[in-house]
Amino acid sequence: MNHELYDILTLDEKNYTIASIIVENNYEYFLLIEINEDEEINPNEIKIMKRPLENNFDQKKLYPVEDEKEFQKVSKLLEHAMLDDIKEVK
Amino acid sequence: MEKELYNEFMKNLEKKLNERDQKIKSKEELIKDIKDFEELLPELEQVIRELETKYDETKTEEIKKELNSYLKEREVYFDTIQTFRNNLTSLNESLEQEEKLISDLYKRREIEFDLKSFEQVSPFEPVVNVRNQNGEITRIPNGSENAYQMRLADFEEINDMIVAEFVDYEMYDVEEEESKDVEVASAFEIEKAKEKSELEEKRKELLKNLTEIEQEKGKKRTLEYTYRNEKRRVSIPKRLAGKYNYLLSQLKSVEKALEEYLPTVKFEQELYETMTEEQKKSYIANLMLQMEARAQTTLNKTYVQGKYIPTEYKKVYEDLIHLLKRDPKYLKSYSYPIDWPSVSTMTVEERKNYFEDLMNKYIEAGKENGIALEYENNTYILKENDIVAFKICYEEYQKSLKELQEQEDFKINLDEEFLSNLSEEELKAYYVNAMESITKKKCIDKMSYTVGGVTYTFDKKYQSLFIDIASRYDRLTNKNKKFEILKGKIKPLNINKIKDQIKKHAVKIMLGVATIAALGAAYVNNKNNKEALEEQKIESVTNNLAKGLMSKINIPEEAVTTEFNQELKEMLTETREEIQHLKKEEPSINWSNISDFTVGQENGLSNVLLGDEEKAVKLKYPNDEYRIVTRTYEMPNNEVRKVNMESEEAMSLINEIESLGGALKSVDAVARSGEEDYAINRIPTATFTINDQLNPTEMGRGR
Repeated sequence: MNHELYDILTLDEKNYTIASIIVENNYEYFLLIEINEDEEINPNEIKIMKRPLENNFDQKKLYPVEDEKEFQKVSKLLEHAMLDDIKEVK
Repeated sequence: MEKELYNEFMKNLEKKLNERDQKIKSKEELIKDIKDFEELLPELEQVIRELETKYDETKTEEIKKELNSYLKEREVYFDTIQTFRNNLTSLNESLEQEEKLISDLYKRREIEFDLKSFEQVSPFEPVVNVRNQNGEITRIPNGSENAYQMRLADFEEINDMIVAEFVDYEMYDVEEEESKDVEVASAFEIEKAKEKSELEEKRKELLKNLTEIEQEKGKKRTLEYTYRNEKRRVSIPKRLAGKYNYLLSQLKSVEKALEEYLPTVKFEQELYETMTEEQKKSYIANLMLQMEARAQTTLNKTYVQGKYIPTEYKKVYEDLIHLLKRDPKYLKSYSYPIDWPSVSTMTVEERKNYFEDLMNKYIEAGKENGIALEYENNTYILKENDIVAFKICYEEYQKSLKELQEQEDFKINLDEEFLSNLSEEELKAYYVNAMESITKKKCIDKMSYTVGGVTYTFDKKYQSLFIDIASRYDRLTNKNKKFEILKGKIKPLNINKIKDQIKKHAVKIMLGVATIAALGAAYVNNKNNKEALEEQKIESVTNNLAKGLMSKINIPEEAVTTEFNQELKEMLTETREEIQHLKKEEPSINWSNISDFTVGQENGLSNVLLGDEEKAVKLKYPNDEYRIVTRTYEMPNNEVRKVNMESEEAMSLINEIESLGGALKSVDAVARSGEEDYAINRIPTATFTINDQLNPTEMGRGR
């Protein structure tokens, strides 16, 4: 399953939009923001999840980032990616 | 005789010069052909290199076969280029020879004029009689005999040369003309030769002709070439070199045609449907390349998008271009698409059921406007669009059945009843053991999979079985892990609306990310691990982050003093409130009932740990209080088992392990003063080993 920016994913009965995506060390990381049916985001509910790109047994599983160093690194990259993308908005 | 030949040659000089123009043209064409072939070689090399890498990685027969066909093709290219080069050399030699002959003829004409000029004498001038170049007596001025004789010698010298050259040239040229006739006829014959027998007949004839030339007498010339992987060196009459080379190239063409008898580059739709996107691309590119290569060996070719293609492949080639560009109208749509990513993660049993189910769905869909398909001794009524997909499903279903059979042969018991009798730990061990046993089977076509951090290498034929076991193991080990299942994915209706909102709330989102980072990733991602840092810590962290954010997203100063500060203030208040809230929810640890013990004395650690249940989870050493979070046991078979003391089943597990003869080896403990660190990094403060020499190992301190 390929994910693209702003796709809306349903996780645990909640909907999230993908605010940014990065690929690092064979993992795809997502910055997810909760979104409602009217496509309004809730900036207080965010998640950073990952999924392995290779030998992934279940394409539908997204894993949390539990390692602190890994989290620090990818959160920065995800932030940069998000800012780069919204820069284009006038 | 020489003079007759010479006169004959002079008579036909004009004709010969025209033929010479033709030869020069042929030479240019030949150079272009060689260039074309040489330009094609790097592309072919590229394909071969890619296939070699692919083969090294996968070791599949299919790729090996494809690689061999390309290697053969490359060989034919080399041979063809070599033959063309030989032909070019012969042509060049012939042209040089002609050029020299013509230039010598002009020189001789010049000398003839010179000699004639000697004969122009005035009636009053003293003269002497001499013999001219034709043996006739003529008169030249007295005193110029020497000069005349020298010029006459020049004439004779050039004349001898011309005669020799002329003989050689004339004979060679006659043969060349004959071979030209053969060339045109043979090329068409090969094109027309649709029957294998005709090609075989042609081959025989060519071999016979070549042998005859080799046995001909005359001024010899050595020729080297490669034929059927062997180098050959032959001596053939110089005058027949061109013909020999030509016949040789014909022979190679015929042999190539025989090798790929009734050659067709065919687009296999069914095979194509089973491929991954990457494979599809390379398959199309390969087919296109093959067609382009075939254009070099056919007379009927058409120009399609910058490439020459055999006319017969024009339609297919154009379709392939569309497919490569992923033109939607060329992509088939089925009533039910095959979900290949999901298939790749299914067990064999699941795969079998999935394809069986899909086939039934296609049959169901075919009830409306279906057409009959005779397939594998059965008749199915299907929609036309679903036929290919149905066949794929049928094959996959059969493959799964076969694999299930193979699994039984391999004797890895995956019977659900048997597996249900095993405990979780036993199941894990069973699966690991099964995966290891697969790696011990004979491995020819290697492939690797990483499961639980361990990479297993095994033969590709066990891929499905391995994935079956690995996915079971993965599910089991992930049972207690935190992951979320994606239940759906849709495209938003208004991307710009989302982008605008993200831009508006960028600061909040980034502060949110920073808070997660500061509190530890586990804080938000796992609700069971709620813990907090002290307020001050958070405040300073978020304040620092806010400063960083301001510079990072370049917020105007005005905004920083008003809206931004307000938002930041709200965030900090919310964060503080949440931390307070979390702190209230944190389960309090009862630090009473602490066991005291002293190193080296009777009531040592082992006594404490193996004693009273309640006391066994907490201890004092030497100035701090510890609670035990993990116990590590060694079983009689050297297996190491860990018990999580925070789990409700801890005590029953300990009883079970101890009844099986498990011996306590060490405990991981968290100091009261280290709880905060442990909450963030989950690393225990110390490990105490059970022996007479107590070795507390500092682990989590300061992290």
